Amino acid sequence: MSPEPLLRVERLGKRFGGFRALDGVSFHINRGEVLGLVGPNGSGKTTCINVISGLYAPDAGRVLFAGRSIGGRAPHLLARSGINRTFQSPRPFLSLTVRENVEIAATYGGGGTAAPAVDVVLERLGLAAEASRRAEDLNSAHQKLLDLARALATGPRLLLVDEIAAGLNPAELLLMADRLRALAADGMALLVVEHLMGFLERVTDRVIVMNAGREIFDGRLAEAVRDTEVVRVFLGGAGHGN
Amino acid sequence: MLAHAILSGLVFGCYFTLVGLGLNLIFGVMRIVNLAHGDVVMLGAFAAFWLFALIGLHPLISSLIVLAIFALLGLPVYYLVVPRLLAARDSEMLSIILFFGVQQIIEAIATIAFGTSERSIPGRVLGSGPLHLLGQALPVAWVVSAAVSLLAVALVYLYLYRSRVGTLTRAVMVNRDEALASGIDVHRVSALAFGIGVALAGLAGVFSPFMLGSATPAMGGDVNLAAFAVIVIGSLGDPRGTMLGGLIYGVALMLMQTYMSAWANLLPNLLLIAVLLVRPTGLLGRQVRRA
Amino acid sequence: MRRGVREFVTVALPLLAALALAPLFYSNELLLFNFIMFLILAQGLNAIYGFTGYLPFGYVGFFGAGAYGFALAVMHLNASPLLAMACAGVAALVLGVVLTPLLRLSGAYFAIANLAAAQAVYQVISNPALQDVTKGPYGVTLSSVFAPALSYGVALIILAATLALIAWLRNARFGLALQAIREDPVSAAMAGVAVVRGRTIAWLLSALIAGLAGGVFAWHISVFYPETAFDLSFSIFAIVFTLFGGAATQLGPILGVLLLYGLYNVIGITVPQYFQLIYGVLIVLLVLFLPDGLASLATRRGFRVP
Repeated sequence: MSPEPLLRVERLGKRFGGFRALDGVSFHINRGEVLGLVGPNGSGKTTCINVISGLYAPDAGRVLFAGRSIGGRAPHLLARSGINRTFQSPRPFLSLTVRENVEIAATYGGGGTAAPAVDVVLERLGLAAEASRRAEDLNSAHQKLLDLARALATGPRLLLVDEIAAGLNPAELLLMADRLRALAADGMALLVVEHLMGFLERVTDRVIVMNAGREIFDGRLAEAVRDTEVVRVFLGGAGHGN
Repeated sequence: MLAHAILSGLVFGCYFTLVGLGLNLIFGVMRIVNLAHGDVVMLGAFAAFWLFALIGLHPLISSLIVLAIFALLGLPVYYLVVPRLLAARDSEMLSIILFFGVQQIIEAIATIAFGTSERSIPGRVLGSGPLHLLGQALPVAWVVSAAVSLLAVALVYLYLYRSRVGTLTRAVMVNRDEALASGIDVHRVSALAFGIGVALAGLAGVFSPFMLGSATPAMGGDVNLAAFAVIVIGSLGDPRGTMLGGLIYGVALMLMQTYMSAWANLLPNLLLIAVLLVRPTGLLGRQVRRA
Repeated sequence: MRRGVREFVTVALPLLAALALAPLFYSNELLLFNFIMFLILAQGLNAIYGFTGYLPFGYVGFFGAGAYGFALAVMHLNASPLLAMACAGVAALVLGVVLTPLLRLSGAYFAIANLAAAQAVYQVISNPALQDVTKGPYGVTLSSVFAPALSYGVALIILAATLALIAWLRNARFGLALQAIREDPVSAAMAGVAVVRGRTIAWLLSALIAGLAGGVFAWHISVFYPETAFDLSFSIFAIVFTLFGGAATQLGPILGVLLLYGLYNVIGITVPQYFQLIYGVLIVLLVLFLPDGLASLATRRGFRVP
């Protein structure tokens, strides 16, 4: 285990009006590690991603990326310095072509040397055949891939993945899991927000369980499902099955 | 002088609430901007004028006729354009342009039909002599217009918060897609809101000769600006905010006219910009996301 | 980028050449000048509306600021016409910078606030209290610098520069980034695009273009009133021409101006109400049935419109 994790989140807080979406959550991710982020709806998972990726400035706590504090920095600067994300419902540039979508990310966000060529990204995600189609003409599975391609084109060292498995069929799920594992094998760190337990089991090295804006468990998924507090939080919920 | 300015400001504020109310109801329910709102107000003014000039009808009776006819006119307009408009990708933006077109049509027809001369109804029709209110003398016509406006606001409030269809209307305001998914007949609710919005504009028009001065086919643009200022100050889409916006606008207008009359016409625009920049969603609005 | 040059040569150059030669064959020079002016305004609006999606309902504010920037420079500084043109551009740019915070607003809020801002500028300039500075509502006379042939030429140069800008935006990565912002600012930021800076640059370019158009308008007609320079129809015409032809293309707004402003001159001058009526119906039909303009007829079939 490397001495300094790639991302360290310390007692992060974010409130909307009177609602504490994040209430002192802390965790870390190492290079090449896939960390799952699970928890009931409203437990703060997506807010967490939004804060790390710069869409919201945190109210309290720190976000350290490669040892430097980045809390509150603008999203485009974070994208250029190696943090990127996908969206729960993909947000491609609808009237532009698939290639143009990826090109923008590669030219503007690919500041680092790690940025792969546009064609490599399209090839790797199986989008090469769609390159000249407009994004609005893609089906939703392809739009998810395009969202991922846009993120990968910036050559991220940390990738935040927000519920990418929802709506995929079993074959697509397996393929997506393999793709995420392959990214980690190349040294990328991934934070994966997901509900599907089978998918998490396949992809993650470790999981954080969140409830009411803070972490209540940090460890392997197999242990999480035996943890009494986790079971209580998920009582009757998504903890089992799937 | 200050007390008089504030009191007449509050009276005008009630009327300006009515001017903005229909526009805001339509925006709140359909997320479209009825840029022809001011021209519907103009049509209401002309309807009141002709009903008075030709058959001597009292404006209070005209207002009932205008309410009914304008609501009925609004329904076909809704079904002709709004569903198709809402299906477009950027309907909010396109609505501004589309209703600009409607505004041009109304203004052109009104100019062809009525000519460009100014029409007015004498204020004494609503009652003669000044009315003493809290030690201040105000024209009766102002007070009657304000009272009718308050009544209209109260009825809209009852409709939205005390009736079944009003509850459905508020559900559509909060989230159109979810309302649709939960089986609400969104088009019927919207058509009703559109009809009411148009009728309220017509009602505001009936009293505009007493509050805004004589009517001409070209008056719509200025009415629009006042209506926008009122509803933006109070929060676009929130009917409760309109009353707040109307009163702030009315009082500010009267203060400007009393103390800085040369610059009074700047007021709606500056107030609107200032409020938007300080609170982009209006005084009652909720916080919006960053980026 | 080579494609940008090619598009400029095939679309813009013939138009510029035709407008340069037209006064030799057609005596109504003022009408030709108006065509140039609307071509500039439509393309300037295209830069902000077509590429970033902001609908500047008060676009005429920049035009008026440019016209008065020119007029004040001539009246108070005795400036030469070219220096006064620079003042026109600066006046519009300054107004653009002042109004930059409006870009924080989205959708209808932006359009309405921008309209209010343009009205406010008009009300300040036309206010009788400022008669010593702006001549208030009584209008300005600039006969000392009146030079129709020269100002016609300068207008053509501004049009050429504007068309070149649009051809560049259409083919350069900056234009692509702007369109990404238009489609989804959050996603654009995650692609590394500096959203606020991109918007601001497009906004100021667009303001500058309208200011220069206003300046050359003041120079060319030399006598005008505040309600002429701040006539809301300038905004509306520019929006409708752009929308009709197809925003975010170079050819679209050109077609829009040639067809619709042509139509206006055939029927609008003699019976304005009937033109207004036709115009209104046309706008309604356009939004309902062809919201992406004439250009979309070709793009839907897979053709690229320059």
